[in-house]
Amino acid sequence: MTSHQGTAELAVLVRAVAEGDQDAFARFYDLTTPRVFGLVVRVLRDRAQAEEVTQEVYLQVWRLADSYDADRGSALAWLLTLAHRRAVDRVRSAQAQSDREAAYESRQTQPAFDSTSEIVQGRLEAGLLQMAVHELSPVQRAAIELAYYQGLTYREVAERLDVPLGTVKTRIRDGLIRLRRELEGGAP
Amino acid sequence: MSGTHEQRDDRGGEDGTVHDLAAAYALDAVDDVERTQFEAHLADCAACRRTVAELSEAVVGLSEGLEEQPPPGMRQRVLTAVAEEAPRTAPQRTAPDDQTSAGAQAPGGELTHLGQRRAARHGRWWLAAAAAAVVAVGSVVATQWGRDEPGSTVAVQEVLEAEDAQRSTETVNGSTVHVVRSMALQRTVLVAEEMPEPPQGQDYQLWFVHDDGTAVSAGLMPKDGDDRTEVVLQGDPAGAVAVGVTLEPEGGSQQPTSEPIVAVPLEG
Ligand SMILES: [Zn+2]
Repeated sequence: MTSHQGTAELAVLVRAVAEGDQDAFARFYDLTTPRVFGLVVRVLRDRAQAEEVTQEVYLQVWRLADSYDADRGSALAWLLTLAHRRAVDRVRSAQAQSDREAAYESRQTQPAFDSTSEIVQGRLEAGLLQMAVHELSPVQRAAIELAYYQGLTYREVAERLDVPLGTVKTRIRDGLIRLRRELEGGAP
Repeated sequence: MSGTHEQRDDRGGEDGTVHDLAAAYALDAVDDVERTQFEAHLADCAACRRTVAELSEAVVGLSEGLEEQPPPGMRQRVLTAVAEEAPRTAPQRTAPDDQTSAGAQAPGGELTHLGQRRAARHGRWWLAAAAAAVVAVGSVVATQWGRDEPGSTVAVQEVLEAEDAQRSTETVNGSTVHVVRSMALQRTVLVAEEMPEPPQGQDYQLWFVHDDGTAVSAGLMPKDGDDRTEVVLQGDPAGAVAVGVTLEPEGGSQQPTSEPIVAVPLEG
């Protein structure tokens, strides 16, 4: 799916879906669902909710396929962004209330870096990170993982890590550039 | 400067320039306001478009290795849902004044983006809904509404329970929008179920859509945070052939500034 050929096929399928081709949609679904579902489960940490969100994501694929612009990135990147946003929306709306309630207590009882030190110290997620994420510096990795897997904005990451906004933006940028190089270098 | 949205400030400073948001945007680590602003910037900045395209491929790598098989029933549910929607989303005749919006192109999952990205389809669709409805009800609606006296307060419940209540429903993106009107009461009520909260700084605005495609504001949808929102439409509904919903800057707009999220035809 991440091979060059697979990438090209996904782009062709998305264009067919935009024309209303249901068979192309089914094929696209089959090729990509494990990836989408895995990401959504990772962000939501709840399979039942992840199922709902994954279904919503594929309905969006059907409805929004004509908005896919190959110049802006691969079809897989487009799909995973749809999935990530939807999952993060769910996290934020679900957590909004409990977060507000927990915020005061958490500020009182925990140093801000506690929740990320686990990540910094390299608690690996099962099955994850067999690749380039290892190459990131610990601070780059913490910023990227907090943002991507926990759905924090870079402003929230800055707050959580107690570093300036500019620093977080730099860590994210440099980390992604490094990941990009690793992925390019390691591609089959 | 920190704590404010300084994306329009290109001069640099503590938090850098607008271009510096490219990576956070690619990682989907910006809030709704910043996303909207940055997408506007992307339209004008080829360098950032290139950066986002490149870094997005790095972000793809972040879900590698997480693959998990979804439950087997999901496939059939999704394909069925798509098959049911298919007639509406299949390519349609183009309305005469159809125009393609230059909305943001980057992928997005929220209604903001939905609204923008459905432009190509829904610009047509809005007019098509209006056109179809006017054939059925045009003159009747005009005369009925023509003697309306705006301003009298009629409870939502009265409209919903009116003997002559007419109901139309559309679903979009998991949300359901019902429009109920009573000729006798000369009032229209919109009921939205499971509509997500509008992004920060925006409101859902309601519109009476006329058969020529023009829209007249019917007020804002209250932000009550409930799963179900009921609102009596404001203003003069005379001649309206559909009720539309758009996302607008907080407080609403004189005219729609985005494509409709949904348009519910008023049927005779
Ligand atoms: Zn730029």
